[in-house]
Amino acid sequence: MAIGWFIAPYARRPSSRPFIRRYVVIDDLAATIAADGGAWAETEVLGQAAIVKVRASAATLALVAALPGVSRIPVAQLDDPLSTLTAPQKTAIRNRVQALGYSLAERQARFPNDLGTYTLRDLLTFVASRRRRVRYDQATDALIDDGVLEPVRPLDDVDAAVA
Amino acid sequence: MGAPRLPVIDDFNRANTGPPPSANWAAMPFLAAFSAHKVVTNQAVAGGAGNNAASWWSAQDFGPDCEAVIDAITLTPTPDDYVSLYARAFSSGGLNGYELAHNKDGSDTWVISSYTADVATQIGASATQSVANGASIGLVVVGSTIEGWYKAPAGSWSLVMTRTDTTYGGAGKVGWYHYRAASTFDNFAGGTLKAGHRRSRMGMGR
Repeated sequence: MAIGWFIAPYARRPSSRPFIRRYVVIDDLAATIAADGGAWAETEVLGQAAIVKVRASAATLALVAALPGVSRIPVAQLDDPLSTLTAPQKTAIRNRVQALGYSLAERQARFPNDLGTYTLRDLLTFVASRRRRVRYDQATDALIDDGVLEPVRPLDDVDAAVA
Repeated sequence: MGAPRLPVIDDFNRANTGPPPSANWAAMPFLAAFSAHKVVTNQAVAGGAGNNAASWWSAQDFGPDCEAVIDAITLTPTPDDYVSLYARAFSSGGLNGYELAHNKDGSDTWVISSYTADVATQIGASATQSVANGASIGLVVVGSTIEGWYKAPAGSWSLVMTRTDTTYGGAGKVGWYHYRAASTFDNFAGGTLKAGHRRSRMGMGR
């Protein structure tokens, strides 16, 4: 089996009952991942997204990467360098991180050099630096992440959970 | 951690009453203000006119290490029939705490979630386990580990899923919710797991 690291969005789980449920869209492939004998674990970050590590077949990881809103970082181990990323891949990652809510100034302060000079751990540790409490706004029927800062599950926890 | 083993705290064996099932229970503080359950023919059923019912043991808090178990006597086979258990639950802008939810639709999905002000965030992957009439469902929370357990009628406990979360570490209430008025429940068990509690994972217990 293979390992994949992704940034994936949370989605609202539809229900006929008046519950407000959110889940990482990776779970749409829970049965496929389980059929591989694989597993996945997440840590929620800014922007109602999560860093997700998935262990599954290469074919299943391709399906995961094709889920709406999911970005794959094509490096397998946390301590692997990002030097293998192409320029378009690095641009896509930078844009995705900024879209989550991390400012350009924050990103430039943390990564003053080319992204390829850092490791996956460096990148994901930055992305996992914070998250906000998500609330339900009844007037707009929307989930909004503008609350207080909440603790973030450590990246190494996620890594260890999917060995 | 081991299979659920705390004793039943309510067998609902009494004259019809409620909602709630007794003075030890109250309606859970969901956004939608569901009715609590009531007792009919020595079992717990939905207490209000609609399909939703949610009750928690209001007499005291349990935990932080704790468990909650319910016998699902009859679950209607219609889609979207839910039964959920709660632990470390408290009210603050709505419901907060941990939930183990089973959806008796075609997929028999189990999900563990963290609730914050009525917003449930699924923790990790869902699992699959069918629930037969007469089966038991258990939620066990020890430290940051949250487990969902299943016991078939006249069977032994088996672990369905384990997840990890550190959002809620304090004591709280235990309770359960169900959707579908025709469903019936019995023998709610639960309480505090004492520090150093050692239990077999071989399915022994309640």
